[in-house]
Amino acid sequence: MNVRVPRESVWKKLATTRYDDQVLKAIIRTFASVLVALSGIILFADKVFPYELSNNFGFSDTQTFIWVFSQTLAPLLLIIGLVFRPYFISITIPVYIYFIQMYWVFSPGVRFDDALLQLYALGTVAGFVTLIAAINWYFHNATNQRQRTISQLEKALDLNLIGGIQSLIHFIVVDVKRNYVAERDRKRFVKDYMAELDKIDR
Amino acid sequence: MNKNDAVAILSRLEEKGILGETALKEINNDIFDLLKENMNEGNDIRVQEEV
Repeated sequence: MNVRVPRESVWKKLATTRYDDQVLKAIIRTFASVLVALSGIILFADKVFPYELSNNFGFSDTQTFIWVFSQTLAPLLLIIGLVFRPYFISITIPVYIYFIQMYWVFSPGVRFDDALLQLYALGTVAGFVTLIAAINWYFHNATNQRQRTISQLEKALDLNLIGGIQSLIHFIVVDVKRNYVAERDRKRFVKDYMAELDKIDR
Repeated sequence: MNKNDAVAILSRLEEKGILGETALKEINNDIFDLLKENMNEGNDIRVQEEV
C-alpha cells in the first residue's frame, strides 16, 4: 500500500533540536540569573519584612533573625545560581548590594538613599565590571594567541585532518554515489556508508 | 537503523566538524529515501535489517 507521508527532513530535525537546546539553555541561564539577583536582594529582606514572628529563635527581634538568616541564605543562592552560568549582568546586583553592606559596616548611620552612598556603590560596581572586562579581554587575547600558535603548528605539521576527512566524506557520499554506484546498488551503498559513518569517533 | 539513529549519527559528526553542509544534506536525502522506501503500512519507518 502506498502511504503518502509528509517529507520530514533529518536536516530540519537537526536544526529544530539545536533551536530547542538553545531555548532550554536560555531558560536555565535566566533562572540562574534570577537566583544570583535574589542572593543580593535578599540581604534587604529584614528592611521590608513587616511582621513580628512568634518565634525568633533566640534573636532579640524578628528583623535581626531575618537579617542573620538572609546572610546565611544569600551565599547559598549565589553558589547555586553560579553553577548554572547566569548572565553576567545579574552578578552586578549582589555586587552592588554587598558594596553597600560593606559601607554600612563602617558607617551604619548612613541612609540607603544617601547620594554619596549610591555614588560609591555605583562607582564600585562600574569598577568591578571594568576589572572583569579587562581580565576577560586579557585572557581572551592570550587564548587567541594560543589558538593561532596551534593552527600554525597544525599547518606546519600537516595535521589539519578535519578538512581532509570532510572532503573525503563529501567524495564518498556525493561523487562516488552519483558517478560510480549503479542505481540498483544505491540503497545498499547508503546503508553501508551510514554504518561506516556510525563507527567514526565512537 | 531508524530515523533517530540517523539523526544521532549526523548530529555527532556535524558537531565534530567532519561533515560539510553539502554532504549533510546529501546524506539527509539518502536517509529519507531509504526510510520512505522501507516504510510499511502505518507509520513504521524502520529500515529493514539485512537477513
